[in-house]
Amino acid sequence: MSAWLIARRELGALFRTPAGSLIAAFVLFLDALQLNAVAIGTGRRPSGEVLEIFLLNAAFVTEVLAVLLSMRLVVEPLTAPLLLSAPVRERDVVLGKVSAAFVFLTVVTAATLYLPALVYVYGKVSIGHVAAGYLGLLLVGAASLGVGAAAAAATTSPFVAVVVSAAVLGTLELMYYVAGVASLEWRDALRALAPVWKHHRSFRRGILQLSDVVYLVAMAYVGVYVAVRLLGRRRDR
Amino acid sequence: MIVLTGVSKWYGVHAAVRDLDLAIEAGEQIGLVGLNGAGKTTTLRMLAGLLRPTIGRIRIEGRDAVTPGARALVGLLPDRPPIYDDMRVEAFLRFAGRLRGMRPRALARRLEEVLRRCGLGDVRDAPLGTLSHGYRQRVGIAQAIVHDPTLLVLDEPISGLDPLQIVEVRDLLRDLRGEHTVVLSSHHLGELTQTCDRLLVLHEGRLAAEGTPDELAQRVGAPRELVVRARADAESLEATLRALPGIAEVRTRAVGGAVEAWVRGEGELRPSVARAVVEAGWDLLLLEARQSELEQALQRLEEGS
Repeated sequence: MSAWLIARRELGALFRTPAGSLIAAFVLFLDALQLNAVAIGTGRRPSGEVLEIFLLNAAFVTEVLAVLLSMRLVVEPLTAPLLLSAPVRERDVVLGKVSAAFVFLTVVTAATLYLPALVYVYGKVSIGHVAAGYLGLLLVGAASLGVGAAAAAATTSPFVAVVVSAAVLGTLELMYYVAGVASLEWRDALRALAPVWKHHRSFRRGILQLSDVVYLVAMAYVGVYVAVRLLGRRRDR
Repeated sequence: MIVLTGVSKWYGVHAAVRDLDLAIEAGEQIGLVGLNGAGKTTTLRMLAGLLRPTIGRIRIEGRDAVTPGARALVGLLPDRPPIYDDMRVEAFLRFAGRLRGMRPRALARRLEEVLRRCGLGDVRDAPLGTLSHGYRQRVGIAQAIVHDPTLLVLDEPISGLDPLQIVEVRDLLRDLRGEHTVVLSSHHLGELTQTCDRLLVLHEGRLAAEGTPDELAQRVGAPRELVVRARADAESLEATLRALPGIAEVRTRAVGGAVEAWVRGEGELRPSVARAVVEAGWDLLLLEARQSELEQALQRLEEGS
């Protein structure tokens, strides 16, 4: 119940404040740009490949969106006494904030659906391919928000939360390339860390692979769990 | 009843509060007074369940203060009102009430009363970000009492308010007397003596003294160092003041067109100093204690202990 209350308030703030509109506009602009400039490009490509490139770039844009939203996940010094002195568990505070951010991310992501719809209308791709790709985007968003929630709970500064979550997600994606120079026994383990490069690949090809779903959901869960623990420790500071 | 047993709070190697033992009866209005860094805010935050004591226990109606059950009984106004600028007054208070577990129907009834008592009726639809400091402070108090808490914790409730707003908040605090147990803090000893039943003087994290305002006033006594400014010649003023009983030391200096004298002595010096200056035919421009009331009180209490 408390998580729902907090989620409703946070969602209202995201849609009411200029920051929310700016973030949404930025994401819509980036996705439209990358479809035209990168996915379609100047040469001729099969529509399935266009959609796959669009979904790959959209997954990175979703990570950027989650990183920007992590600043809204911070329990700031001004309002912390209201939330933390209320009979509300830390779990409800984190879940409320993360749920609101996820709903916002879902709405903004859904608003980009007209882009693959254009590929669907003028090309030859299946609805299943688009649906799997967008499910992948939402799971990447949830996993990235998990990282953002943990970063936000570790600080009282929205700026620090953005920097830390960007650094963590950037490092995880970089591992995919670092794996190329690592020894064989480490190669697969390092590659398996990259949410977009490794675990969104099946989705952007229109395939639902359980291991990828499990990895991204687990990443979101671990992030939220760490955030709850860190927030609880604020009472001991 | 609220009971603090052997409460200490350490931030690393620094103890913000040490060995605090205290019992607060239901309905009492308690004032916490002390200089910056005395441990007032830490004590209030522990009472509100925001911080866990490093050592010791705080029990509110028998429940550990950090548990949700105890927090439901507490209303907190921190040093800055915890409000969301993007919300409107009524919506924010409804959110605060629901967060504290109030049911919608009971909240609707209570909300009207709280808006009226805190003088927020005319700004109920205003965005919080547009309110003046005084109104924000009122909203801060309103969110703290909206769920009718057993214990009300107010950190510097008059800080930054203008004189008219101070009177309004003081009246509101008097109005809350008896309905809630109130613990509030202030730098202004005089302010707390007007509203509180009992005062606790904190110094460097320890309880330096406690008692009713009258008891503390007796222990603190009159100021021992005064500043007197008068239109007089320095030599005559110094000689006149030296001649008064109880005065040990006088120093003078020219200030603008007047003379300022620093006077040290024992007992209540102010009436005799004022009389002497006026009877000598000089204009008395200023007569005040050299240190703040609080600084003097702490100095005396430290010396006493």
